[in-house]
Amino acid sequence: MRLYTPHLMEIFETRQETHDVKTLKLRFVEPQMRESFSFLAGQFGLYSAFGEGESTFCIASPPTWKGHLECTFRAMGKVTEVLRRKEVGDVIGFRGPYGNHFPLEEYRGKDLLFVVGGIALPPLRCLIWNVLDRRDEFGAVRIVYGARSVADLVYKHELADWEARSDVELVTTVDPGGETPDWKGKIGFVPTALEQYAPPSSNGLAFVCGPPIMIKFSMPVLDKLGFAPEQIVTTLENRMKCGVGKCGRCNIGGTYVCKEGPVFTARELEALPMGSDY
Amino acid sequence: MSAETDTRGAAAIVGGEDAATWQPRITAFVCRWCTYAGADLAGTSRLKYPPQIRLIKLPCTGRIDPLFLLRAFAMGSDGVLVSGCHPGDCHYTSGNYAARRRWVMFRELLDFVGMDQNRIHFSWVSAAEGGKFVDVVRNVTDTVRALGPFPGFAPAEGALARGWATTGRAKPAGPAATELPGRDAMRADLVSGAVKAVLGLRAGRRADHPRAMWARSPEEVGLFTAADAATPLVPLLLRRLREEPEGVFGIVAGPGRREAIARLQAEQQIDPARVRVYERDGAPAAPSDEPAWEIHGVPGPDVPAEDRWAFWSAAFSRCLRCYACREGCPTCSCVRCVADKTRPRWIDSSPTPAGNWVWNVTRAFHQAGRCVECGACSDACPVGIPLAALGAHLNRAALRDFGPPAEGERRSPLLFGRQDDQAPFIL
Amino acid sequence: MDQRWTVDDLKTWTSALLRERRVVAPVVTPAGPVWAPIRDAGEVAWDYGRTKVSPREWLLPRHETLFVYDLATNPPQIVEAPLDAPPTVLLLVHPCDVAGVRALDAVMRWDYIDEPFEARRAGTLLVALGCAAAPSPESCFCAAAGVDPAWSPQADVMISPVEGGYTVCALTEAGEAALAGAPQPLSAAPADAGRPAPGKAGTLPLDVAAAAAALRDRFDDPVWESLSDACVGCGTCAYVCPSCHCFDVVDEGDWRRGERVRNWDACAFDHFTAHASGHNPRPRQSRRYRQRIYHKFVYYPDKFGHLLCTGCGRCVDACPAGMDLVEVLQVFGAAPAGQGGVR
Repeated sequence: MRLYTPHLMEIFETRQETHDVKTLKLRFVEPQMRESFSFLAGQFGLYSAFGEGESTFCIASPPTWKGHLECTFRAMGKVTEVLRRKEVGDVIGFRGPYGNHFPLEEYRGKDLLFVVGGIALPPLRCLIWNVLDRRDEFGAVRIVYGARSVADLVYKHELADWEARSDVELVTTVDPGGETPDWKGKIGFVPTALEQYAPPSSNGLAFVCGPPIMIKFSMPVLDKLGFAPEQIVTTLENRMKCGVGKCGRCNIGGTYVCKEGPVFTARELEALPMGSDY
Repeated sequence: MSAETDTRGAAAIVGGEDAATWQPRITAFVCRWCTYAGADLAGTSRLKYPPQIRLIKLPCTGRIDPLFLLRAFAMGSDGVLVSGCHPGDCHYTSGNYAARRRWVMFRELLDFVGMDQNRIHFSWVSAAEGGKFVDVVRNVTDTVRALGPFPGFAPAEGALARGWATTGRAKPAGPAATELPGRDAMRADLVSGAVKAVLGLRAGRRADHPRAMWARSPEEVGLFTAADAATPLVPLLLRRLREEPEGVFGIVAGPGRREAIARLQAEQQIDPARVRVYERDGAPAAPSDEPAWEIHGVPGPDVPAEDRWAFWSAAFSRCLRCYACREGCPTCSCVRCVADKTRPRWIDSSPTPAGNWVWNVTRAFHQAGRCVECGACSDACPVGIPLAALGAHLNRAALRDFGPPAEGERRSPLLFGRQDDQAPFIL
Repeated sequence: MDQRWTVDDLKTWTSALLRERRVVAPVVTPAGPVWAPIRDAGEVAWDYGRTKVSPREWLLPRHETLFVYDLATNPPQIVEAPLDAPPTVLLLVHPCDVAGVRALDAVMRWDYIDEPFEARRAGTLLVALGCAAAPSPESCFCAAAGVDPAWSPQADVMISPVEGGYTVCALTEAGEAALAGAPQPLSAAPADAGRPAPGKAGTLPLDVAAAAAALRDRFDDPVWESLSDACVGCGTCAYVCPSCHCFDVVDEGDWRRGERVRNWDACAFDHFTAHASGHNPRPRQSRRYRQRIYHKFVYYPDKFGHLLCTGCGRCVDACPAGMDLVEVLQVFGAAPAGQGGVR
């Protein structure tokens, strides 16, 4: 099968996460692919809605869950609009995995802090579950997750699971005004919650993913908490057509997000002209 | 489905259908108030008509973009019918007047590029005319059946690269200006902040290749050259106005560019309060009584339609879809071009013969009666398609068919219509 | 022995090639020379100057079908398009365009092999024609861009114009095989082969290396404002270029049946990098122009060791707004940071 030819995947379960965010659980149509497919946390795929084209998202389920893939996306453009309308039994295309990954082995024994906003949880959820499935190998796992409102939180049932676990510290927060009467979490922005609840760290790692404004205000907090730029990790999404370094549109400066990313440390990003209409 | 649709007509023959049993595929675009009701009446009256026609119902003929017709051909139709309310009967008062003008220009354009006029038909059929509907459908079906399958937009074998483009006549040079007027005003306006920048031409590294330049300071005004060129300044101005929503911008403009700016103002694409024009002289547009085919060296009406078709289908097939014609065109001012729209995608984005043909004809049609004849499209085209001939020809046709515009009227003549517009081809 | 070939010798050889392969060569049209498959050696324009559009479309076509899908069948089907790669000779390619092929090779073989490109590339015999003089003296700067206008190390066969004819040299085994039974003897490579020198064969003397080095630190230099603000965003520069290779992948069809195709694309287009959310990391035309320059002279060379510009000068001549890459290189090749400019 050639580079640009997707594998067919059947949707066997769907979940409406929020009014415009949906999760598809996918199984390869070809039986041998179900066996042989493997990937690493952080890698992405290109999902085809035939007739409209492809869209790029990180694989949202961890490699430890064998036999299927999950993708979670917000209906934004023409491809995701069509994917959103897909139901159980429908077939979509997938090619991948592409890109680099979270170097999980380097994280062993370390405290891991996840700082996440809104729809940015899916790419980190892959890593979170991968870590939780190998829980003994890592130090403390802390998650600060916020969204505009309670309705905008994704994976609500999993948040409850993590909340219930004694080996995960989860702080959920919603923007002021986004709470509901029975909201038990915090009220406030992610950077504030981070400042209040996350302990200082010397050898830990922080995984930051969310809207640019959240990242902007979280970075000084992480600095104060003792995270050096090498210890801050994020994952990027740029527009892509090929996913394999050929089509020429995902570069930031000389760095191709599809090949050299999507996982970057803050140190690596410092060298890129991200601030100025790259 | 570019490749497939290109050959679908031919495939029907190859597939073994012989000429005696072959039936055309005809797509009809009809208005819901008159012709669709007329078709209904034909049905309830148990009148029989050829079943090869597929009706697509739209609110009004004014909604029937000629692009729909091209799309129908690209998707495998052999013929097209467009039909709506009689003049004076439009449910929306005047939608069919605007539609009629479009049909007149569209036919003119298709004829110019050599498409067989017998594949496209227009009629007025009212809700009471079930019998007329049957007659029209019979007539159209018979005509198209006699023509055989639509051959697609691909140029004839071997026509690929040879002999398809001509160079046309050299553009008349502008008056050899020795000094650019208005420099002092530009400097003063830049100093006072009345304008943020002024767009003009400066001498390039090479002689006779001036380059567009935004002067931001009085010193830079000195770099403007007195020479003129067809450089697309108006599109640059429009882009700047859209990228920067605040501020006044200046432009050095001869008569041609001033006309383009005036049109864009009339079409509400440019806010006159945000543009300051520094007038200069320049080459006048070609006189409107000179045929476009002579100016641009393309086949004229004395050339048989098949040869015009061969010429233009070969020329369009070379199109790379770089859209340089569009970006260089002062009146291609849409914020989002129909060729870039994807919901739905009306024009295949691929440079296939069908996609190219539909794109180039659609763009030309959108200039009908609006083209300022600057020649920027032909100049910009890297494969030398003589596109400027199309806009120039439609300008002349619009003038002939609709008369000169009212004093100060710069809107497209296709935006409205008059009861007494003539269109004898309508059944 | 006389090693010079005449045009008749070249024709004889071309006729021999035509018996077994498709031959794509410059042919003359009223709008200038274009690359097209020939049926007869008589059609070849032996002294064609330069084509407006580079021959890259014979390796990376402006449009190709990747696969056809049919989801209405059970099971749904994806059928890959046959690799359209007949054995082909690209005849009389100037060294700048051969260097363009090298640039494509590097990208299309970077980690992942782009199979449709590779199939065509493997089936293509590159026959280069050296330039005795610059076809467009005001825009040709290949020698400054590191390409010898008289020699193409990446070609299979090298044809060099010399006084009173041509010399022909086989550079690869495939070239040697194609020249078996040639009407005239072959030559050896001249001593200075492959050594570009600025100004060679009348090309523009530029300090491209200095410009490329200066670009590295001048991404945010204010001079970019005036260098890039005349770009109309038409993409012509990319479409005529021998080394530009960006492409778009789109579906033509509906949710049941259709095909996925690949078309040329250009970084000059405003929707090139636009995200579905509406965010565009390169929102201004002038930034898109800068990206093109950086891709060619900084980003690509960092990865692959040679420029993504071969100095063919086509973009200089094709730009409807008069934008001039040579001027940009002059600015960065000469003036120190923060000053200078074409103004």
